[in-house]
Amino acid sequence: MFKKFISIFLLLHCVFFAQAQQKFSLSGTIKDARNGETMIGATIVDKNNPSMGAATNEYGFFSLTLPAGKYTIEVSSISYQSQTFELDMNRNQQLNVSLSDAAVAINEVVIKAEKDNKNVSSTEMSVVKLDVKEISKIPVIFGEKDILKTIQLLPGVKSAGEGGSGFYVRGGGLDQNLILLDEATVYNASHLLGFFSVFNSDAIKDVTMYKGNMPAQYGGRLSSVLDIKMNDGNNQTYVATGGIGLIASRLTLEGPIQKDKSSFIVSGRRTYADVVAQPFLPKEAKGSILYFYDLNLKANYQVTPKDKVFLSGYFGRDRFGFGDLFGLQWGNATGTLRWNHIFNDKLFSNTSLIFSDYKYGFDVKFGEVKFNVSSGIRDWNLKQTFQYYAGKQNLRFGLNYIHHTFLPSNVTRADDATNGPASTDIPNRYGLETAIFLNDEFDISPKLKANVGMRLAGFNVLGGGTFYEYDADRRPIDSTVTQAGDVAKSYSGFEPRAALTYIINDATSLKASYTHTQQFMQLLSNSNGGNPNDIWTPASKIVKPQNGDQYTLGLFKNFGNNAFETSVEGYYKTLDNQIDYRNGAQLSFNKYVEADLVFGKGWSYGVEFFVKKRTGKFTGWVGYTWSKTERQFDAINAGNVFPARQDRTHDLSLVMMYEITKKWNVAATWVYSTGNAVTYPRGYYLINGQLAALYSDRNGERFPAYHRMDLGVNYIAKKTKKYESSWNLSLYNTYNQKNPYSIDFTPDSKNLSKPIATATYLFKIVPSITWNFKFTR
Amino acid sequence: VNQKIKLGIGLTMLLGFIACQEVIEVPLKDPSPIFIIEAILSDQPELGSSYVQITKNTDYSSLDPTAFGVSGASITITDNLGNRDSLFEVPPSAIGGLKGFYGKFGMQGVLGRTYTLNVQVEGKTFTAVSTMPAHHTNIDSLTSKRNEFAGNNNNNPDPTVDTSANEIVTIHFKDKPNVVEHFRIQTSRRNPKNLLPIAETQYIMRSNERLFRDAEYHHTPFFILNFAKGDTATFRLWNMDAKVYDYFNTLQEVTGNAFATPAAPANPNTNIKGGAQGYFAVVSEARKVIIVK
Repeated sequence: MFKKFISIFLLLHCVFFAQAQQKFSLSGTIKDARNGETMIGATIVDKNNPSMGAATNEYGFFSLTLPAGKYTIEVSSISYQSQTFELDMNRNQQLNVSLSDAAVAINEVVIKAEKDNKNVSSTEMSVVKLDVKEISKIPVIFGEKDILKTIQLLPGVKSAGEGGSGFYVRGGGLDQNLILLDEATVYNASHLLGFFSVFNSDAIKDVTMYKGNMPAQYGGRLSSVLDIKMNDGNNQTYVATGGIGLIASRLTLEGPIQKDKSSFIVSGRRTYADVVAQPFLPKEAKGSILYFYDLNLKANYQVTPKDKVFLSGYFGRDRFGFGDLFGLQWGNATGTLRWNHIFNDKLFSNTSLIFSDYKYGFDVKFGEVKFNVSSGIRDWNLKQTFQYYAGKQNLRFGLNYIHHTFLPSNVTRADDATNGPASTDIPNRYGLETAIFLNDEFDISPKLKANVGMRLAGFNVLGGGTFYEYDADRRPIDSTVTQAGDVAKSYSGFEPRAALTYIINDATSLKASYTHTQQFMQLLSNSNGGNPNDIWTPASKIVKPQNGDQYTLGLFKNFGNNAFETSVEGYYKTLDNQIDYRNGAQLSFNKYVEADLVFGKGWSYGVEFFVKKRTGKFTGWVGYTWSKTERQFDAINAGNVFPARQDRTHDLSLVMMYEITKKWNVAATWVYSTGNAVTYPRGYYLINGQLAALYSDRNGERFPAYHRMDLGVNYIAKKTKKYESSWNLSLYNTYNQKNPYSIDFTPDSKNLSKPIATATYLFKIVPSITWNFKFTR
Repeated sequence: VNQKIKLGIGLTMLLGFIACQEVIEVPLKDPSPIFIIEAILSDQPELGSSYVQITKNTDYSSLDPTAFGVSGASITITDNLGNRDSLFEVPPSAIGGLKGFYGKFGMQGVLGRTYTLNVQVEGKTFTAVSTMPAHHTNIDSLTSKRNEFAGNNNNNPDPTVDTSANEIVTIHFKDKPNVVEHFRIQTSRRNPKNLLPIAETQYIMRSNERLFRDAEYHHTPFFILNFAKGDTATFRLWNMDAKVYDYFNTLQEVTGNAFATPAAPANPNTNIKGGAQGYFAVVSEARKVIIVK
């Protein structure tokens, strides 16, 4: 199968190989002069012919093939001072450049943005890139800058709930987003039920989200990829940065191991809301704990000029306890060991060994009876990627091998079990996810660019434990006992993808793409916004892999010398083998949980409008999405089509930032969205001596529309080479809009058939203040 | 309230930002009128063990219990051997003016038989099928002990909470090995001080849920209702078919008794065909009483 796949590719490419002419390659690494961090997406172009160019990959490496001759090469990146080099390409050459931050340049160079039309000229579409510098200006709840909350302000990405970090992308489910931190899967990206994300922005270098058109090296989720890369650490000097806020503080230390070559970074964060709140708590709640902490670590070492190793890790835990009655804790741990190797000026390799672990635990006491609840998931992942810069072709290929251990939700009697067996004893499940992939970016003509990719992905449900089959009444009727290492069930499939960009002119392009994706695991969740006790389970004999197709078409246009970036993207997406629950499903502690699942399909379509002002004192964007998201299941709603919960017709975000002076800048955001589709009781009746709610059709009613404004002010109190101090003030929900977090219904005591609605609001206006500092040695 | 919402509110309070609640106006579409049928056929001969009750959702717009109930229905119950019983409405005057109760003297289900209910009312026909389990399950014993988890009721400021109720009762019974059986445990509580019966509560389980059992016996603690010392607690154990179990299991989600509110609530999975809510439960029933000490 693989051979066939390769030969199709080669055939496809023969057509495009350029005529023979003497060519040389220019390759190297681009770094930030200030801290030695490698730069992602910096551009290297021929000034006289801007269509001749390359961009750095995620490790700052680039390779550009040029016909023999003399060139003026410009190296640039947004908000950095560009540098130009006169080169005579008569042999293969190396070009390693360190770019300076434009803001600290001695001769206040005006940043030329005219070359910066990458959004128009590249084959990338449905991609969202966040500027990490920008994140710190945008006001969010509790003043804690947050990647996931900022990403929700972009079109096509919708927040799952008030203050939450869960998100929906183009009508997909919460579990259809692949979230990667230095390539390691983060299975639960939320702290404190979603009020904070697990990503400490101080340790983050780059944030890229693919809402569709994912390159072939990514796989395993239907709807999106959020690829987050940690800082490598300053290899020039020792720096301490941090912040002290009302409920959390953070500290980052970084510095060189070998100047210019190797560095480390350690970043930590902890909340202390429970400590602050302690004196105000009622007597029963004394001794309660509620906190989380995060630790990010990374080190890199330049072994030889061609070899670099990186070791990065994340560890975070949330803890919540109430007296000695119960204790709850959950968290992620990830580790990534990477080896970059430059074989030659055209071939770049990265090998990663990745560990990822998510655990949830809950201890509770009923008198002398103690219970312990646990669930989780653990991965070992090996990923090999090659990048081959073959003239006009930019090839990326490799393989990926992930061993998953799914720890189901089990409850165990922790006390002396005199009354019987002590645990629900649901066995672990094991899965092996494998993939080979090939992606190629090339120009068909100067006006037409293409990016095609193929991923062959497979999933083996591994043995150990019993697999059940069920009758119509969900009773297990047949079972297969398997041994560890057996393959209980195997799935595989091709995932083709292609994107085309037609460049109408320097500032305008038309793009189209198609992506097919597969997903071999799903999150069993009884909640709407994602809970720490949600359970990841694999595909099985009963649960088929989910798969999806997405078609997109977009028009990209820049105005005012690329100062304004605009786009309109339409998408149509279909989702098959979708999973929902039977009425009355029990997802936890249930060995037969698969009998409670029902299967159906879904689709989503919409149009996203985006206008961004990138340069000047006034920057920001407006994003608007019109969309429709529906589902259809035989076993739900009598088989009729119903809106998905995240079906929101209108979704609007406004982000504005204004730099008043070098010391003061202000920011404002405003969001508006149609309420979620929900199921409400329309009346009550008596049954079995109790009042029972009479429900509408599935998601037949609407939550009230949501809107909110946040304001932020940043004041740079001091900024020297050695010391920086700044203050951030924010006002969440500035005009105190009452947006219900939940609506509960109770019968009216004067008319038992009528529901009374009670709304719960979590956040009124929330002011916060944070002090940020930076010491440089 | 959803577990997560409760936690969320608790957390925001801990964070110092008090969540608030208020009654709001939500425009809801009117529900269409539906019939609610509660039909029980027990293997026990006692009067009142088996009956059919019919109401309509429009009945509940008043608080007058004599308005609850639909008269004039024609009801039959037929078994798989072809035996047919016609039911009669109990004269409302005999039961305090309550309408819509139907029954027949000597009506009693037989182990292992399958029954079909047919209800014709106001021009509509509803049918349901339910099977009596092949054997009867007895309650072996009831034991009580202090429930320390709920023991903090003593400090509970809510006046409607009975602060003396700190005892938990465990029901011990034996199921049939190697088959999945479905049980429903109900209790009613009477206290010698106030003599007021507490509304019946139920606990639904399948015999393959292993947490509170040993090789032979289930030892099911009735966590959902606490008793005070001196209470008389009557327990009823139903053994029933999978569809009836499914009904009561999904009913919990709409009466607010479920462990966690589901993400998307829906009406219970009824075994009645024709568009009514409710159930036809053909059950084997065991009773036992304990005086909590």
